[in-house]
Amino acid sequence: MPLIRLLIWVYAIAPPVAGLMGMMFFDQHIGPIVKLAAWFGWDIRVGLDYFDTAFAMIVVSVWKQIPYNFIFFLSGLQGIPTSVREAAALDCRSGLRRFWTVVLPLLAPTAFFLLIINVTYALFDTFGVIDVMVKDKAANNPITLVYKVYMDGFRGNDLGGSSAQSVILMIIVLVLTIFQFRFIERRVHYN
Amino acid sequence: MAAIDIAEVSKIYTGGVEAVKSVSIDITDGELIVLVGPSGCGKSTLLRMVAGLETISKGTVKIGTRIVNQVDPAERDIAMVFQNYALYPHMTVYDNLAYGLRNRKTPRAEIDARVTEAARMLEIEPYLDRKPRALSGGQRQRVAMGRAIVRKPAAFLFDEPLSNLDAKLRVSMRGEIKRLQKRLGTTSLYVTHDQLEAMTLADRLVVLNGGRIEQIGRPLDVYHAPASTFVASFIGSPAMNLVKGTLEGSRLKIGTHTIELGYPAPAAGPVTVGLRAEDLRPAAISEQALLFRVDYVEELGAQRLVHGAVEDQELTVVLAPEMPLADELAITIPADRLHFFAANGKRLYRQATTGLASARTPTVNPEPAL
Repeated sequence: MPLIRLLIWVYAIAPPVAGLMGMMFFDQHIGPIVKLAAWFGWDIRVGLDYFDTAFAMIVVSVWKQIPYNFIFFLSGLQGIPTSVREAAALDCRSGLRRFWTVVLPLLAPTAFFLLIINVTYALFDTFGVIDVMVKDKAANNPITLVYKVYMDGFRGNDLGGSSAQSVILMIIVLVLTIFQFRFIERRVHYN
Repeated sequence: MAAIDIAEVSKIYTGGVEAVKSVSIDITDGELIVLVGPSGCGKSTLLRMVAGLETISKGTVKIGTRIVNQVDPAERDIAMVFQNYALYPHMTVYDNLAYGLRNRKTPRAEIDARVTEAARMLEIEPYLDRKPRALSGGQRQRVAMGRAIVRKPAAFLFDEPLSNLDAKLRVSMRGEIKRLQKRLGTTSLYVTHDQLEAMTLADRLVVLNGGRIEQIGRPLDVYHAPASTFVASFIGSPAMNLVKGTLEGSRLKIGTHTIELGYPAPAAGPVTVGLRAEDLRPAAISEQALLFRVDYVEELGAQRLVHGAVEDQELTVVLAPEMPLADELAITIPADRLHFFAANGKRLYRQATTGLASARTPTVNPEPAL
């Protein structure tokens, strides 16, 4: 168990570093993921193909966030009293059904917390990964709104357009958060 | 409803620790058996083995006519009440009760009828729509009981169900459990560390110590004829006084005092003598009486616990509250109320009659007290 907890250290990797490591995985010449995909006839070209670049970005960003989610779900699972699981074992034979009806509902607070954290991460903290991946590539690569705000404002010197976009970004985040708290939290049972 | 047969069951954990050592208990249909013992004596482990929450290392457990060693807990036809209630926090009381039935594909109308009946029996009808967190400890306890009752299982297993309740509620719930169990007639196995709870609830008591059975018997039999010094000191409050003495013929010597037994002693030489605090009574100073030096007094209202010593051996005596106290009292005990234990802690039974029968017959004190 202590070894598993070390997993959260991956979370301590700075996004640009994670981006760099990801770039190596997806490198045209030495990237193992590129070679793996080639076996299945998929010619991954990060920075050239829009879809492939998006794919690489998503894989690297998700990879970096998995341990964080893992640790929280682990502690959530440990937070379910043993006796409740045992009571369920006496009440319900099927393990899968027990998971759906008892364990998962009790994990809901954890899942809700992670949903908010992960949405925020996807919107803002992927900046570093994207920057490393697309900075030296030709134009028309997939980017997030946060990255576009930065590009237009500081690279394109369009401060007005950049400001307008950041206001739109704020509204999107606001709507998402309100939606999460209003409609999803209602299904969450805190103990 | 079914009998439970526990035959030479052992629990050996990885690493070789033996928590339960070859325990055999025969539980007849409808009986309420209480497993009692100090913490770590293996009583909960034994219960959990019957429930199927722990694997059985050795021996067999039979519920009804079926050996259940390899049977899934949900298929054993038992219901368990946990110490911390173990209610499903995300379900309403109704759903908590119905959960086990729904998973067994019980028709909806039947579920409804059973839940309503159990709720009426336990007086939790007003709370059926509430979540457990909106209930008090006593109400949660009732819901936990209800969850067991609706299943109509062959046996109830109780794992210290009252230890999270306050003293007053514990007494009333104790009575309720006893009444419910008698009314439903369901075989029950009840684990507790509280000897009072054990005495009041049990049809038969099983006293466990260090994974072994010390004694099985009806509460009063265990009380009046404890099989070992462990049982003697565990059952009954205040605990039985255990002092060192020497048997010579039909005489018992405690320190410099001599008590005439009036019957042949069960052994000769040094023994441990057990004296119940309530069997000791004040007497006139005489050869037969023990000189008791009072140390301190605990007032219980209805009675008074007087702690002190006879020579260097500590004793507790129950006295009437109106009796005047002095620094030194003469006390005596009817000879047939004495318990003798050998050096290994086992009870020494009197010859002629069996210790059990003679100890239970209330005989008049041959020595006139006072």
